[in-house]
Amino acid sequence: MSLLRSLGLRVLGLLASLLVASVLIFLTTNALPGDIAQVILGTNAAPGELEALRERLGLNRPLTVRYLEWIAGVVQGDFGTSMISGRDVVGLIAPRLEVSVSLTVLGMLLAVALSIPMGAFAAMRRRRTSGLVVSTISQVGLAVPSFWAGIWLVIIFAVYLRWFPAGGYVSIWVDPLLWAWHLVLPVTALAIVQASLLSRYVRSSVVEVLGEDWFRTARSIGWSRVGALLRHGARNAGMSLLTVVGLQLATVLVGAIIIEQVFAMQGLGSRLLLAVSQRDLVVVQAVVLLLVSAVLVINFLVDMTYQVLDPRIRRVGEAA
Amino acid sequence: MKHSSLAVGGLLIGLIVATAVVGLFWMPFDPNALVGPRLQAPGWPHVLGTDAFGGDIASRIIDGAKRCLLIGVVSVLGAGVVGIPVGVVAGMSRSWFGDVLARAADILYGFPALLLAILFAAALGGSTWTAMAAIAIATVPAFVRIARAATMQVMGLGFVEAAQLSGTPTFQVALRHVLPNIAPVLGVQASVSVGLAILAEAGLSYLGLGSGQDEPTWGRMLREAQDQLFNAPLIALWPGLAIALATLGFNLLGDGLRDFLDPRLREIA
Repeated sequence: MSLLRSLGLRVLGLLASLLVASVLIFLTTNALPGDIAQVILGTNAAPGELEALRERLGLNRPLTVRYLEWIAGVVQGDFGTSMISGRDVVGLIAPRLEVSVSLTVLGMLLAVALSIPMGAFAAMRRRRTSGLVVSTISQVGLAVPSFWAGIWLVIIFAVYLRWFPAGGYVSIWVDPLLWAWHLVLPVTALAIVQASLLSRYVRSSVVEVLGEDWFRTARSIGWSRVGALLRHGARNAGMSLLTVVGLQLATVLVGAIIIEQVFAMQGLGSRLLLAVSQRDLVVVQAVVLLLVSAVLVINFLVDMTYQVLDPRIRRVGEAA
Repeated sequence: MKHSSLAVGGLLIGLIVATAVVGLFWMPFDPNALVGPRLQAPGWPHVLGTDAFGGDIASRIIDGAKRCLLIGVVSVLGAGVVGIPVGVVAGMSRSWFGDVLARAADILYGFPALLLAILFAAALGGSTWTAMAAIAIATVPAFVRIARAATMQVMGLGFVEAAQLSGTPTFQVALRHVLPNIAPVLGVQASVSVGLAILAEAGLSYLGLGSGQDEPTWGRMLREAQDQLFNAPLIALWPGLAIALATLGFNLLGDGLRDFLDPRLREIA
């Protein structure tokens, strides 16, 4: 019963966050000074034309009415029509989801896969040179802009070695092998920086595990260090990693926007940037809301998983 | 070994600051002028070579240093000025008000600066100002969270309770006892935030959403270098290296400062 109650509270919290985010996005694009009709038609536009365009775009009506109409449409899956091309926004952005999802999901998975051995190694060898070297690598990796890493991957693996294409994207439904082949470099570029960050969290939670009494007990009854870590430490370290992965998801989604530009991929990011340069606010709103909602929903799911995995939190939730 | 990150971080930041200061008074070439043949390899007089338009890369890097520092430091200062008081109030408040502030910061925490900057650029047009404002606003929640956590930690200490019990006005407690004690934690946060701000700004100007067209920034230089990857890959080296060194400097400084913190506060930072 109380678990249900805490679930209900969290769902309410998620809905509140989504609401706040949508209001903020709407206000930023609509209430900031600047006349969109003027921007679209240029400074030489006649007053009559401006008025007609404002009328057509619905810019003359009160802000609250426009917000409510927008959000009512969004809830029903209608994100409006593009101010520039006049096309349905859902139709404009749907084909681009695949690129962004592929980049983000694979980038995050690769980052996690790299960070666990990196962090555990750095923790277990923390008083030796080899461990310090790994720590230093992660420190440097944190400071490297992902797009710079991408540019170097292109120079090395596409220009000189010619192992991978310098850019572009092939749908997984068209050819899974080509899909993977095109994604190697961009996903690696995204993952390098993330892995550096995540490995620092893995390192500190493994260091913590190594100092626990039960770890010493496991060692004393004959478990090897790696064995005891895998058997008993994985859950503890996994918890803290999970939280960070949830928080970092926003960074990876946004990182993918930049990486798309490096590798000339036609994802949500390039559509968003096109809309920004055209001042197509309806499209900008839709894409930003989509990205922010994805982050909020996934953090909610991470939060729930956390509850299920960690009995200590579960019990606190029940007591409350 | 113990304080090496502080030393290396300080050194790197010193290097960037020195470059920026030198750039204010002297520059090998006009960073905005076309001063030589296009795409020249490093040599003399163009130490780092020339870019696709014939601009001197070394001068453009030097000119970019001040912009990178300015945007990084100003946006973080702005975030601190707003975020720290809010965090301290939230940490000292024993009513629902503090919880509401903390909850609001949680919702906004992690909202990427880049997305905010894209929104601003869509509504107002991209410029140094929209980039700086977006980075500053996106950094505020981090300051609120850390200032609140540190304040709550400090509020439990004996001398703060004593000051409160002896009737010291709340504002004075905040100013005299809380702020000086949480300042080191805030310093660590500020240093790390500047590193993040520099990265964010580089990303923005790489996307063309940052500074204007005629101001060289390291991010913009990388964008221009990208068109020449097949002819002159080296052009992509310098601006990226500059960004990485600046970010590394502030990250290391933050890490180094953290080692000096009171162990009770170290967990928060």
